[in-house]
Amino acid sequence: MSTEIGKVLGTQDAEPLEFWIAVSPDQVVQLDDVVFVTRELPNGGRVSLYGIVDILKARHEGARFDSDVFLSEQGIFPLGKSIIAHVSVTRVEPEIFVPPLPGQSVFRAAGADRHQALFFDSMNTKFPLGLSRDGEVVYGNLEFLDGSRGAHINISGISGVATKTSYATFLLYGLFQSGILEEQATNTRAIIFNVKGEDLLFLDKPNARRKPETSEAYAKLGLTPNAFSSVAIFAPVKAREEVLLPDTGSRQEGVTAFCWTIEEFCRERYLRFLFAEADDETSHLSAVIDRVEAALALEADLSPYETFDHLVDFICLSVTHWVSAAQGTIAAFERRLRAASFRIGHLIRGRVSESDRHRIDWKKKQVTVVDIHNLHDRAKRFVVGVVLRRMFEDKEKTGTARPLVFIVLDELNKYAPRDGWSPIKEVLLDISERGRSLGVILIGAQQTASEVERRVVGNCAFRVVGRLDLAEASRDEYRFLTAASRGRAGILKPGSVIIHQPEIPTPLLVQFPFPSWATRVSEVEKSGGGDPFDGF
Amino acid sequence: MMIRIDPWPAEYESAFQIEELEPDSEGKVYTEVENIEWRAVEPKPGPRPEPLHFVDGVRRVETRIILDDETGRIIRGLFGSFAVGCVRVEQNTAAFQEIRVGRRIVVGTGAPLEDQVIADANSVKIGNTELTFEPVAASDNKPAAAVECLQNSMREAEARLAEELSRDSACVFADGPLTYFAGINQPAVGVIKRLVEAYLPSPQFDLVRRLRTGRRTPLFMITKGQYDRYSWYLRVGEPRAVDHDVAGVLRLEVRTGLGLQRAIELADLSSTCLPNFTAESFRDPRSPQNLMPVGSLENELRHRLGDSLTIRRAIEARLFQVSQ
Repeated sequence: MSTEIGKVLGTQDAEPLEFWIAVSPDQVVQLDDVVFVTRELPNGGRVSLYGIVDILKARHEGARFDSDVFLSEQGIFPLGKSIIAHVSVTRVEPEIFVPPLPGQSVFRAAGADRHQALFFDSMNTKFPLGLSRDGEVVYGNLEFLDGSRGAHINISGISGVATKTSYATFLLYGLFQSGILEEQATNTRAIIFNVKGEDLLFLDKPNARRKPETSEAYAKLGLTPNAFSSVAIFAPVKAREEVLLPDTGSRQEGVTAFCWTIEEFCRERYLRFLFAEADDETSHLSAVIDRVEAALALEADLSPYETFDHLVDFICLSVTHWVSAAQGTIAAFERRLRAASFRIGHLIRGRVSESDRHRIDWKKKQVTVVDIHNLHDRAKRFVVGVVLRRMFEDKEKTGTARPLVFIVLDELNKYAPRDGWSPIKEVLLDISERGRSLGVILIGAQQTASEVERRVVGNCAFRVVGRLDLAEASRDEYRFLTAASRGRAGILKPGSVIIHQPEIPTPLLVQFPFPSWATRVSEVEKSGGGDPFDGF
Repeated sequence: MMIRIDPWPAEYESAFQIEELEPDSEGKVYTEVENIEWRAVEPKPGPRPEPLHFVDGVRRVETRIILDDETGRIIRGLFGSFAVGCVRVEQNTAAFQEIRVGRRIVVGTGAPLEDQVIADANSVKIGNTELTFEPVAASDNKPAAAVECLQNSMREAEARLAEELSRDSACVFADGPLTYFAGINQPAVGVIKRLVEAYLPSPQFDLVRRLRTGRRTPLFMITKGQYDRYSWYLRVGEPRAVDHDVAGVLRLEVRTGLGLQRAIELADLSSTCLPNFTAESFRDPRSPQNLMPVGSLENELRHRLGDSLTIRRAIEARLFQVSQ
C-alpha cells in the first residue's frame, strides 16, 4: 500500500517536472524513494505525477542566526524543525504537464504505483538490474538492451571496489537465469575478457561463502543463487613451453590453453592486431601492413615456419619484395613487428596438435571467459582484437541478430581510447554502431568514461556508474547524473551503482547482491566429501 | 553633564518613559512590604521549578472601516486580527503552545452589531480557510477607540490563556501589567518592559539605577489602579557604558491576592531565571528586556495572523461582493 509521506509545499515553486514536499514529522523519507501525487483537474481529469526523491533538507524554522541552534537546545529559544524533499518527476500520466498544487498529499509508491512510476508497467520484457535502497526490484527494459530499440551497457567506476566486472557478470547471470530470453537463453552466448586478477576464472563454481541475505536478495530478484552453468575458460599458453599449458595461477583444472597457428594467423589476416597501438602516424605503416597481410594470406606453403620468430624473419626478409615503401617506413614496420613478436610470439605457434582444441570457440558454452590478465598490453590488445573480429565476422555471416552475444570488456579505455586510431578501436566502434542490428551487445567498463571514444560510450543505452572520482564525475560524460547522484557517486559502496536507462529520466541507485559464484579460490565450494573414485 | 543613549532602536518607543520622579509616592505605594532594608536583593540560586510559561499576544489592524447608515454620523470601526500563545519551557525544551488566533470586526457606537450588513461582511474565505471576524462594539467613535477595543480583545485572550496555563505551571510570565486578569491567586507574573510610571519616589528609585544583573529591588505594593499588586524592579542585562542607567530593567508584578510569601518566591524566581532568557542585542533590537521566548513567540504569532495583504484583499473583495 502506498502511504502518505507529506504534502507539496508552497514556499518553493512546484513545477510539472520537479517539486518540493514537506515531509510529515512521523515519516522517514530517504533519497531514491519513489513517490507520487495525484491532482484533480477542474475539468474532471486526473493527472498523476510520479517521481524520485533526490534531495532532502532539514532546517530550523524561525531561526535567524546559526547560533540559534544552541539556544534552542538549551530550551531558551523555541524553534520549529522541518524536513523537505525534492522530487524529480519521472513520469506524468496522462501526459498533461501541470504542477502539483501546494497542500496535496504525496505518497510513497508501492506495488503497481511504483511500477508505474518507474515505467516497469510499460516494459514488455524486463530484466533485473538490482534492488533499490528500499529492497524493491529495479528492472531494465530488455528492448533497450537486445537491439530492438537500443543496445549496450557502459559501466564507469574507480578500480579496486570490485564493482564493474561484478556488476557486469551479475547482469549476465540475471539475463541467463531470469528466463526472459526464453528459448533463446540456451543459445545466447557471452564472451568475458578477464583483464585483471583471476576473479572471473571461477564463474562455474558456487560461492561457498554466500550469506543467507545474499540468497534472499537473489530470491527477491527472481533468481536462484548459483554459479554459471555453462562456462568455458580459456587462458593463454605459457610462454617458453613446448607443451600447451594454460598460464594461470590459481586454477588449472578445466582451463583450456589458447593459441593460434601460424596458418590461421596468415590466412585470417591477424597481422594488423600486432600493431594495435593507438597511433596517429600509422597511415604509411598501415599500407605496409595491408600489403604484408595480403601477401601472407596468399603464401602457398606456411609449413616451414615452426615458430613465430621464423615467420617474423621471413616477413622481414620479404617485405621489400611485397611492398615498395620508404626505407624509414619499412624500418618502423620491422621494429614494431619484432617488438610485438617478443610479447605475443608465444601465442602464435607453428605446429599445434589438435589445434581446434586450443582455439577460442565462443559458441561451445554459454559463457566463454578469456583470461588475458597475465599478458602484456600489446598481447591483450591482440587477443581482444582477434577474438572480437572473429566473433563479429561469424555473426555477420549468420546474418541474424538472434541469439545474442554479450561481450564483457573492462578497461575499454585501452581498446577504444578517445584519441588515435587502432584496429581494435575500429572493431569496437563497429560493435557499438552495428552490433545492435547484429545481436552483439557490448558491456563495456572503464575507470573513466572521459578517456573512451565518445561514440562507443554514446551508443550505450544503459549507463552505469559505480564509485567515481569526483573530478571525473563532473565531466560531460556524466551529464545524465543529477547533481545529487553526482555527489553520491563519490561515496558509493561496493555493490551499489547508479543506473541511467533511456525510459527513466532520473538515474536510479541500485544495489546488487554479492556474487553467488566464486570470485577467488578460497570461495570455491569444496566438492562435498563424496567418493573420489566416483568418476571411475 | 553627560549624554547617554536609550538603546532601543528609534522605530520603537522608548522603554524608559517615566516623565518625572516624584519626591514622594503620596501614599499609593508601600515600600516596606518585605520588611527588609531598601537595598538590592540577591536571591539564592536554586533549582528552577518547572514548567515555565511565557505568554504574549500580537494584534494587527487589517483595514479601517467607516460605517455609513445614511444619517450622516461617522461610525468608525476596523477589521482586526490578534493572536495569543505561549512558550512552554521545561528542562531543555522550549516549544510553542496554545496558539490562538482571533479576528474581530470592531464597530463604533451607533451601529447595531446584529445588522445584516455586518453579518454578511464578517466572513472571508481565502483558499481553504474561512476567516470569521467576530463583531464587537467599541466604546465610542473616536479614531483610537477601535484599536483600543482590538487591543482589549487581545489582552483578554492573553489573560484567559495565562490563567488556564497557571493551573499547571510553576510560573506564567505574562506580557504587560495584570490589569486584565480576573483571578487573584494564580502564579502569574506581569512583565513590563516599558516603564511609564515610576511608582517609586525618587530616593527609592535610585536603587533601580544601581541594580546589577539578576538583582531586584525589594517588593513594593501598588494600591493605585484596579487591583492591588506587589511589584519589583529587576535588572536582566547590564547597560553599555554609553547607555542610560535604567536600560535593561524590567518591572514585574503579581496580584497581592497571591500572598506575600508566594510573591517573594516568584520575585526570587524571576531574578534567578529571567536573565538566562535574555537575547544579545544582535538577536533582538529590544534586548535585553524582550526575552528570547517572547521575541520568538511574537514572530510566530505574527506569522500565524496570516499575510496581511492577502487578508486585506480578501476583505475588500468580500465588501465589494456584499455591496453589489
